[in-house]
Amino acid sequence: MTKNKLLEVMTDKSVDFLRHPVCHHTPLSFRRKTNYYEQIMLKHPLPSPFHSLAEYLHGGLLEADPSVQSYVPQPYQFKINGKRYIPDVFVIRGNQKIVMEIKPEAQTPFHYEQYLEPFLHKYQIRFEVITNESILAQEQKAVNWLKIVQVLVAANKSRIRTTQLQDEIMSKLLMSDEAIELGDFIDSGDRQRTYATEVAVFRLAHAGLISLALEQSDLGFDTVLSL
Amino acid sequence: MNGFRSTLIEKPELNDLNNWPMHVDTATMSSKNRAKFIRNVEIIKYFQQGVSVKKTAMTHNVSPSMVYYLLNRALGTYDGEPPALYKGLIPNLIQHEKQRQSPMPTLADGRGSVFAFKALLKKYPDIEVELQAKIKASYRGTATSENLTPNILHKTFLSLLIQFGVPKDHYPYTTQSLAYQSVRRYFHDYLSELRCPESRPWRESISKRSDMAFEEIQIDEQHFDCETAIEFEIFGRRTLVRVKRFWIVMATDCSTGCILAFHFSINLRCSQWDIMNVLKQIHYPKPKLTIQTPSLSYPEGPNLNDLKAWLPRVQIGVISLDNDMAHFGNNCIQYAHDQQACLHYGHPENPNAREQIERLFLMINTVTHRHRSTTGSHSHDPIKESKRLKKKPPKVNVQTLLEMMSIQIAEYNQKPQARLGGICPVEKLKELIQHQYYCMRPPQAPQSQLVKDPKLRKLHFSKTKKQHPWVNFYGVRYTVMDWSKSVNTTTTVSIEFDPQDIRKIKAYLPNGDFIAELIVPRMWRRYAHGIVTRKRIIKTTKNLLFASGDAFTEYFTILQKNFHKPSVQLEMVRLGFENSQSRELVLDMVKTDDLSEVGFSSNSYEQSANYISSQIRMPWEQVKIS
Repeated sequence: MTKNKLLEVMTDKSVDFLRHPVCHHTPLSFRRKTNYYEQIMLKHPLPSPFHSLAEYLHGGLLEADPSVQSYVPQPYQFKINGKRYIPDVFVIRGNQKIVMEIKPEAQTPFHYEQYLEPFLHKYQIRFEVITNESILAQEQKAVNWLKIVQVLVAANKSRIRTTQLQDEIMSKLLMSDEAIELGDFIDSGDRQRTYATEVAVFRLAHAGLISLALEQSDLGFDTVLSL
Repeated sequence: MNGFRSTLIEKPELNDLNNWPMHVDTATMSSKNRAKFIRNVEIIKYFQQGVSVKKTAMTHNVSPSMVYYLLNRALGTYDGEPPALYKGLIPNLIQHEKQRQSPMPTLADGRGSVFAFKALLKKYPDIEVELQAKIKASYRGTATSENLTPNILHKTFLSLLIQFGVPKDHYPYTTQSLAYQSVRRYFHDYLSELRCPESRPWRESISKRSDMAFEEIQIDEQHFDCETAIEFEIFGRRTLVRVKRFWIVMATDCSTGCILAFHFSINLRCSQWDIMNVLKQIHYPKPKLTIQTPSLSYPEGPNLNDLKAWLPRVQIGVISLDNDMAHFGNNCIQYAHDQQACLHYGHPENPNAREQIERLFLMINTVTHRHRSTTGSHSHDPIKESKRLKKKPPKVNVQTLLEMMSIQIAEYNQKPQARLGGICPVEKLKELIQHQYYCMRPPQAPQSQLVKDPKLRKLHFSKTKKQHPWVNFYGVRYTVMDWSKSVNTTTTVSIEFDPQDIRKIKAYLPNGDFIAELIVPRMWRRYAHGIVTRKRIIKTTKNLLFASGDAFTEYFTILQKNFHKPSVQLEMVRLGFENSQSRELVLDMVKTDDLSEVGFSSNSYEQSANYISSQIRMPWEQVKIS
């Protein structure tokens, strides 16, 4: 399968590995040279390495997208024209499998695209190049979602159960004609008492059942919830 | 250019000075220019009040054309740009790049040569390209370039004139110097342009402007710019020694500027355990030091201990660190992941990315630079200690310096700051936590000193001998004291331990079930010791342990032999501070006959002196540090 002289898969040569990759370890030497971020995410529930701010924010945007089931940062290692190359992220969105590369607009078109696209196409995997600028334009949304991810990962670890609360929130939203804010569910004077409700709201938003207005403003008591 | 009248037709509101945005700072002008500027403003004001131009000119002792000139400067537009308004009233301010208006001078028509050089380069752009290429090559020092001077460039310029066919009766042949001064100025201007660093596109980051507690925490360490002294008493002999510089590690909250945690690392190099210490203090601030130096005391006012109930609830967003090796320690990374925080290691050699913490070190330096024994900020700093004074130990004591630092940090946290709206960082943090939204952590278990080892260890069972199961941990075999949940076969376990005292550890199954407490062999139980001490003892006394069976004594003997070395003196100070806190070793499961041998509980030198003297060859307790 990797007879192409110009492109070969270095880590694993099985088809299954291409369709179900695992996160490629970032060597310490590289971690020290780059703008490195590492965080445990929800759709990739392991320490996830990101090699730039744009990649990190893109992780937040993937978490915000309910159609994305999971993703793997730094999925494979290829050798193209004798040079090592690791794509930025592998995304499973619906039935689609997409390998994404994040580049500044000035560096597009991406010169490895000509090799990667036909190669990955054979395994029903799409290759996409996303610009840093398009991600940074949604920075506010991404930053807010990264905070929500931290709260939800901590809640999952502590096994906070919110099924009943989620139903109550949904029914309240269905019944209400006016805009409901996050502050309506949280007692700002006693946050601990309403902690589970807060987690329930975030879980609903993460599942795509409700939407939070996080595009323009910081996450806060005045964040508007809608169905 | 459009005159002032067309501007006033388009924007009639500009016919009132009150509608002009004021953005000219008259304080920076010279007194002469300021007087003229105020006069110009008065002229415009008169005109706007409907006074005739002639009368306005007479009142201010200027010509009527001057009034029109000022009106056009302030309200006229050029190439679609907005009117200059107040800027147009600043005397002698060049608003637009000037160009030559009249034709180029020739021998027949000898006009002046104002802006003629610029016009020549515009007419023959290839000449400018060649000149720039020559200057650029010289600046970059390429192999084919030459060491350029204005004189050489002028000669090149003359040859280029011939090459590109500039008529012999045109400028610069009309001047005596053949435009030498213009070439010289062009050379220097372009060279300075090349020397100027390129401005990178700056993008305003949203996350920096956020007002959320613990959203970003910056951590860094720095050497103290000061050497200190300490007195050792070994076998009754008192020795005053100079102690090498050691480290301070600090953590600050970016939203408030509050110093959340600090730790003094008395080591040659900072380790991951120092970073861990600071990370743990973020949620659980440590109590104030007991001040021993007379006349020093903590300032009264709000402090982080007042927020003890609140801090453990706040979720850390991003932990920003630089790319020092100590920051990549597995234990630090594991701890950050346990807190669900994002670890951020910025670009190398870019301290400006963590300007908040770097600025705090300047505050720390104000204390260390006051002492005579300071090293200064760099090797040529004139305030550094003189060679004469370096011959003797300095006057400032280690303990005094640590207390001064601690007080300085407490004072900083209580000092009102203009950027925080006149309140102090601690108050700001309190306000953010109590009144603003913050990401919340789940309800936490009570504070524990224990940390989780990122590595899974093997719980061994002997197949040949009848002995307790054991785990190898940092070079020593830990045996099971008591089963909480019995395990009968070899299995992997995760370990929890106190980094300050690793005599006793806890083992958990991978699914999180607690199985047993494990205890270190007897020879390691005598003193509470951390991982750093354990590693150093094993490394130093590797070949000697079998001989004596007492690791601490062997280590101290080696230290005593090399006591003249500054690094050893620093190590002795570190050991002294490590043992300054009394830690109890509770051995519930050890047999009663063993207690006489291993069960003493205190680590303070004085308390156990009598007991130890009969047990070890080189009495550790004969060392006192003051």
